[in-house]
Amino acid sequence: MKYSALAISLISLFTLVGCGEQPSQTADAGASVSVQDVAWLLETEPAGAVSVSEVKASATEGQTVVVRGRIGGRKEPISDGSPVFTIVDLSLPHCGEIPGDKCKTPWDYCCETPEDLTANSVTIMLASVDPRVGGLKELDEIVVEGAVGPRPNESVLTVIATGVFVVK
Amino acid sequence: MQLTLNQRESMNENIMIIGTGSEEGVERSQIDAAVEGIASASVPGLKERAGVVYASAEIHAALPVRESRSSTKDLNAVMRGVRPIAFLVHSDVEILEGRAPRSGMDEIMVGQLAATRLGVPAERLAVGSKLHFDNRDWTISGRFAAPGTVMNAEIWMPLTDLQVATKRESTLSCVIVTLEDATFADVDVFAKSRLDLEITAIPERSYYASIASFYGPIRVMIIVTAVLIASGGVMGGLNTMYAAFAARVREVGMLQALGYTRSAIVINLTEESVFSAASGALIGTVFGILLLDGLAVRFSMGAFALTIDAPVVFTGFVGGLAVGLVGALPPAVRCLRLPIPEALKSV
Repeated sequence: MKYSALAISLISLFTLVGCGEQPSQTADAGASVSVQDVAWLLETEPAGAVSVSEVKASATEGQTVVVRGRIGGRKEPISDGSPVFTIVDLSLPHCGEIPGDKCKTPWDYCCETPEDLTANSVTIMLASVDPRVGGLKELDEIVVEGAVGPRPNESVLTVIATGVFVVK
Repeated sequence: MQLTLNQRESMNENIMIIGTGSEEGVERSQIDAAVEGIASASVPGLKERAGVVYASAEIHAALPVRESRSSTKDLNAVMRGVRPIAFLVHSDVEILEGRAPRSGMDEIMVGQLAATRLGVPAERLAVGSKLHFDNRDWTISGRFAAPGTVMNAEIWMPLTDLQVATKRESTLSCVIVTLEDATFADVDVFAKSRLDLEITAIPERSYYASIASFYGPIRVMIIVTAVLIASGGVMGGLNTMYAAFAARVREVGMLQALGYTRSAIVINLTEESVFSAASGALIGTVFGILLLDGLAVRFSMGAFALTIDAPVVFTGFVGGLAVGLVGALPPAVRCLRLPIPEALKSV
């Protein structure tokens, strides 16, 4: 019976190893991305960037703006296959900046009230299909250049981006 | 459970619009009731028939219900408040008996596994019987089936009735839209652009897949438990073989004395063992199908039915044969290790 314990241990070990989660696959931004796909990625930072809250307070439809913010504001600010994402004013601390916060998705700003988050968020729309193609990811600080889309009310502001610069 | 949460193929076309921050539980979601109309008008390419856009405004709520007014025991039910369009959006739902509940008439419709979810006998939820919640009796007007989905264990009722019962007249849990020419990106653009509505778009399949991942650790525990039980079975099988073969040492010695080769004896013993194991596996399979197939099991999201399908039967049968094969070899070798005179003298 001394083999029994060994057999049970081995089978359990193999099972546990077998049931482990596969490492999540991240998009390889470098692979099969044409220059056209990432034409909107800027090498240099556009001048005259203003904050999300400033642009939200004053921008009108059709106006060209340069806005600076951080990708976040919801659990999935960037969704697979979707050309839109949201950015948040840098003055709002994300959950990772709050001492002791163990939030697994710090970019969702769950520590902020929905009203504050809405007032300090802007939607960015790219011509490209997926922002991840250009290597954009949650919590990236970016500067976006583009035109303001329709504003049915003051909470809504979509910037149709012509260029995005990722602040290193 | 995994299959129930992964849902059906038709879910590939459905997108849930829920409140931002409520991605992990639609029951917590609260969105403006106007989202249904705004989404229908704003997202081009949603499925539409005879001028009706496939956009189902719904409330999902876990509520305590009682068997009768006098009953003191609360039963946890998963309720879904819907409009008639829900039967088009959720194409897996089929009314088995009775009819859909009418608004304002205190009527409800129960899923096939709702009785399991509530922990009551199936006949207790027959059409025409009543359940008690929100201080009044509700008549069961129909029974529906949505096999292999969480809906199968739910109680459906008119949206407005559930809005009144949950005191949330101006909000919904979600709006579920069906795509035709539109893609997920179109709904996502709408959801992310309308920051004022505080909504998020998520494919229905992804939503339930994320719920399924929540049960991951439980799944691992179940697999480990199953492996331990199976190991017990293997050890039991080995023990039985050892005992059976030990009693036949003299017979094996006799066969060797008569001139049978050791390999011929091993093959003979293995054949016997595999034959008995196969018989056992067949009996086990028949018992499994008779006793377990279709058995409903309750869990927090509803209930699911155990399925003893072809892959399960195949795995069980192959496992049984493996026990017969592997279990025969060590005791057979042990029998043959004894010298012939000693084997013939053994008691």
